[in-house]
Amino acid sequence: MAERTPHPITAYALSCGLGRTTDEVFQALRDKRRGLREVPFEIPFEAITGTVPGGPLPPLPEPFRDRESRTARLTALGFRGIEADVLAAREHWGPERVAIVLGTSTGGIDRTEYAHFDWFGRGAPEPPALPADYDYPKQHPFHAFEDLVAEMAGLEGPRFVVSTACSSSAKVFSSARRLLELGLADAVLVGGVDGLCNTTVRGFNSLGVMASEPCRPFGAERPGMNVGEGAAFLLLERPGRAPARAWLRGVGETSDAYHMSSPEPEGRGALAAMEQALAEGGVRPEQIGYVNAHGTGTKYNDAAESKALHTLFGDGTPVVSTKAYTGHTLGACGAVEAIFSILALEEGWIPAGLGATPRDPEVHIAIPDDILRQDMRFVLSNAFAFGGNNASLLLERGES
Amino acid sequence: MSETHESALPVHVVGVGLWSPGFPDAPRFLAGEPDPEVKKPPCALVKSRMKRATSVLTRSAVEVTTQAIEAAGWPLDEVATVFGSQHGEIQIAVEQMQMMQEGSGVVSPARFKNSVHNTAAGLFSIAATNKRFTTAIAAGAHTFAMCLLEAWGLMLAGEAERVVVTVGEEPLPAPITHFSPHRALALSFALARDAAPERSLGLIGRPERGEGEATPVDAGFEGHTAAGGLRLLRALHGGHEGALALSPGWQLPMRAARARAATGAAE
Repeated sequence: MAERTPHPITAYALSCGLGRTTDEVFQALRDKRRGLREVPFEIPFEAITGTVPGGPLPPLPEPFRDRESRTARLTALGFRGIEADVLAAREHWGPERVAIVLGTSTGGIDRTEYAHFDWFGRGAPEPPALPADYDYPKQHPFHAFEDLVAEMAGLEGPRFVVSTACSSSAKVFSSARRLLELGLADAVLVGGVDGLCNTTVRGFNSLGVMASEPCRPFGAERPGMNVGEGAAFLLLERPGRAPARAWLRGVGETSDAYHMSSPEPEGRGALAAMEQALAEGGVRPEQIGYVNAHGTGTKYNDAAESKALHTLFGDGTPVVSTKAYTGHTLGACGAVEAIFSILALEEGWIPAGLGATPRDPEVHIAIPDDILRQDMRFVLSNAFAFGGNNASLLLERGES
Repeated sequence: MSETHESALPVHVVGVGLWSPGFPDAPRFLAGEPDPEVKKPPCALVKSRMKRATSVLTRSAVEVTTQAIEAAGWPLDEVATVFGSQHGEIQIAVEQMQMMQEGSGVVSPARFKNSVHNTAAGLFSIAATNKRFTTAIAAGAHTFAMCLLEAWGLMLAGEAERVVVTVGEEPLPAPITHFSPHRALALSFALARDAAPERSLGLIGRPERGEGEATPVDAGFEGHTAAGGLRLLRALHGGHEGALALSPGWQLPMRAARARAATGAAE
């Protein structure tokens, strides 16, 4: 496979259970604090989630009030941290030359939950009496929160949403790369947003994988997973306008072709995705300083991914799942964890593998119990999804 | 036709697939003869056990993807796939909301695992043992245009030689039906950089900005997410050449094989 052209990542920002701003999130990671707390709505079972701290999310700014949803509010909150960089890129390249490709698994589905809960059991006049502030086209569909970003930033380039469940906002990197390489954009705002909602919290509970205590990826005493929420944005662009904080060096994308909700037990699809990402960058496994694992904290995911990781890296390369801190931010996790991977490259440290000790005896990978300081040039970040949809990102340290 | 223009149309359409209530495939749809017996997509590729708890959207999308690949004469596991839908698995989503308000308030695990936007992508990959690139896209009214753009990018960037683009919708359920009273329909195009002349239905270029020709769309499908696709289907069938309207502000340069034969342009 021919090596791909590296692309600079010039800016990033995120909000998640660890904090509302990028600084808050990074400080919590340094302090080894988890961002897992109360579910922000009523559910008929015990659970904790990676809920953005500080109470209700701020309402949308006035011109965008009709775009209401938890995902939209989270979008606006996370976007604040990268707004200045995006506006500078728009100024430099022109609004029609800045594209947007974002990932989500649910879009604004919580708004239809709200409308349905209000409507249900009250009879069905035609058209049904739904809440006056409910607007399906502007709030629920996948593209609604992306339109909000385009309007807030004044961007006019091509835009679409990738929704492949939990790999969504890892796959946006390859979509963005194609737009850049084929001359359709000079900069692409990528990222992922998923707000907490009944559909995902109750859905993962129905699969029997939700935990009421903090998740412990790769640990022997794992209780299951915690659903989380997050909004993460990164700016990919042509070289020249701003220094690269990191380089996108490879993206691996494969399908397990095995099962809708369980990974292929030997991790073959995951392994193929990682190998493809490495091949695109011309990088050998021993050059990887750190792997941000998908690491949901469920038995089957941990088993399959750790087999793939062991095949590629043995038990030498440090592996951590930051979902122990954030919960599983679903469609946002690819972008959230790409930012954590860039932080590791920029500052030369790997987060502590919370909850991974005692280790699952079937897991044979190197997971640091505490923060590990080391200089790194390359990291891999994995995101795997329902449908056996696998993505792996290869990132290289930038110029700063 | 100049060579420059020809090189701007670098992708062949080599197969199509279609399903909608009354229409089991593209030829029957083009003939405009609905069959009242056609009510559910057969989706014969997928075992009954796996089809359980899947939506009409997913089954129709897998059905037409299979039709398009078979029409192209390709192995099912040697293509990349791009699936698109504006509304996605909305029937299952709303059904789950009802479950949340009844009984214990928990949802069905079988329905939940089939509720993601990439359910059709996953189901097709499993049934076809296809381990290649697949994605699921949404872009409102521009969904079909953006799916074509992603497919074009995959081919022009050298990531895939063959890509199947499938778009589909199912009706919105109560209580939100009135927001978009569209019909169920799934439509698929098998695209390739290279094709034998006798296989090629026509050539397409990159989706681009512009208000292309808004040729008529079949009655009842105006405003449908797949409307641009239906326009392409009719254009390929009718020997059209020019820029077709895909969605407001996006157009597709194309030339049907019959138009190419008529003008004597080189392959």
